[in-house]
Amino acid sequence: MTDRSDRAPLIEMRDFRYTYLEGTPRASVAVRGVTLEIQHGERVGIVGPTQSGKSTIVDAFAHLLRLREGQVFYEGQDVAAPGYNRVALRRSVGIVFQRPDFQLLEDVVGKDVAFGPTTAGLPAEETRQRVEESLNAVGLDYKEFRLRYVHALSGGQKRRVAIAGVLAMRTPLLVLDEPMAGLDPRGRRELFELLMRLREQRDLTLVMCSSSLAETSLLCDRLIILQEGQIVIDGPVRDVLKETERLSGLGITLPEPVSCARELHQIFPDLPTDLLAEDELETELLVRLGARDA
Amino acid sequence: MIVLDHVSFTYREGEPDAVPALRDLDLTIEPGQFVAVIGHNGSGKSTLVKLLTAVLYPPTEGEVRIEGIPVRHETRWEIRRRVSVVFQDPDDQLVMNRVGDDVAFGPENLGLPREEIAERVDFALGAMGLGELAERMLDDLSLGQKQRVAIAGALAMRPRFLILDEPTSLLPVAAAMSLIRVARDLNRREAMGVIHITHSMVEAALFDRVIVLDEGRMVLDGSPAEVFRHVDRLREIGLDVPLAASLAHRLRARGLPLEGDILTETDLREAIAALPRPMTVKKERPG
Repeated sequence: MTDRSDRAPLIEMRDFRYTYLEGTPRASVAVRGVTLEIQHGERVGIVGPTQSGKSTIVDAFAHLLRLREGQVFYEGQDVAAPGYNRVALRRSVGIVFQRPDFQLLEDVVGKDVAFGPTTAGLPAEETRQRVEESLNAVGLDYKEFRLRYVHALSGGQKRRVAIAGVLAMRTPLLVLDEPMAGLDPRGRRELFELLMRLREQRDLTLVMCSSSLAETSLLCDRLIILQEGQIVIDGPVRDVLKETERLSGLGITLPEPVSCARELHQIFPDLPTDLLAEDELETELLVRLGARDA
Repeated sequence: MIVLDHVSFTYREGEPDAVPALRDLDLTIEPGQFVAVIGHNGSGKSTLVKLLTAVLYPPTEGEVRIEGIPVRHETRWEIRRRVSVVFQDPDDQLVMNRVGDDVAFGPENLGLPREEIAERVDFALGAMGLGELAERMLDDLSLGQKQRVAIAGALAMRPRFLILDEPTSLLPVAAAMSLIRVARDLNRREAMGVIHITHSMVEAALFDRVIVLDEGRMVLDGSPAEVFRHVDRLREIGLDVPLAASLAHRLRARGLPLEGDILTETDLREAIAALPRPMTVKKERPG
């Protein structure tokens, strides 16, 4: 990986291992030695089947787990070192958890989004501004939604409120754990568009966990593929998409153009699979079928 | 047989904020049919499920009948014995700590004799491939496994119809496909009707019949092949058309004579393999 500056990576993890319920009969190993670096401004997808260790790794970024084996550094500082300011760490690593119901703490939308800034001790006016900005950023009109009850929202809207709550904290790192799970196609498309807008913010580092490559391959520049708590592939998106056999062997859902191209390999062994869109596949097929735009 | 006889349902009927959820739905589902109902949120899918499981009754207009029994307050228990439902999130449905106990919960509430309960639990666990997990704690299971326990619980009620209310939307695709294979197997072996509610067209392609709802109306009804022919209409409604179907549509528009109904990637491969080659493809449609 190229070092872009003399700045330390935003996140560095060295040989991190984690076992849930360690020392009990129900112990289960979640992460078996993960070493990675995430640079400022990177957009990284952490992709693997369920129980491959994705959530455990991102929870460790914010030191939400007791770090026993391995080390996690935030901007070069060991987060488990004595005297390290954990509160400051959690105001730097914003995680949107898989189920928004576990994250939404207040009954009214505006109050929920204000929870972080208020707890951080920001003045009321600054908090109000951030709530307004964050709600508008996730496509929920501030005036229309600030007094709405959280429980009456759709799944997609709840997830957007959860994202707004994290955005209001202005964390340099935004982590989304399975953001698309449980959304219908319309909700997925809306959230996808929102994330496409967010990814353009230069100062934001984005990490997305998913069991599918469908959205991560479009939203991220780099993919880290996990299997049973270990990194098995790590590289730029298109390089990773070339490894179709390995990916589908791992039980990872391929993006539709990739999986379709893989199926058509029997006819066209030279058909590339590092395709991101239907248009790209159509063009490749037309070339092979003898048609070419004049 | 399930009959919806010109059924409409409006929430808060007669009030200024009334919301029509189903509009004049007229449809029959035969015993043992394997049906997918698709539509986006707000299309009326959930209201339909509530009407079929005697959670909402009676409809604002028309009548719902299950095996000839009209769905009403007095008949709700008879209806729920014939129709079982599995929800999106198994945590909303699982009540006990141990897998076997949870599956026994429904039959126990029917007041069945002990041997019959044991028999039904064995059957349901076996059918879902959960035999070895009977003694396990639910908290230790993955979401996909919990979803199977929820289905086993529904099966232990020995329903005539099993309604799967978006059980796949929280699952990774591979787990979703395996769940549908299990449902298909049950449908064949037990002649049990399955109604699968989903917003995935890829899943819907695996069913014998696809019903498309939009804004409370049935807009398409037929085999997957018949329904997926309406690529533009489906897009307009906001549903995702499988890429293979959409690509076939595009290639045909380019003049490629692809034969047959193309719903899946395998269909597309076979159709392309069957093209006469070498061939020249025109840029424009043949006039």
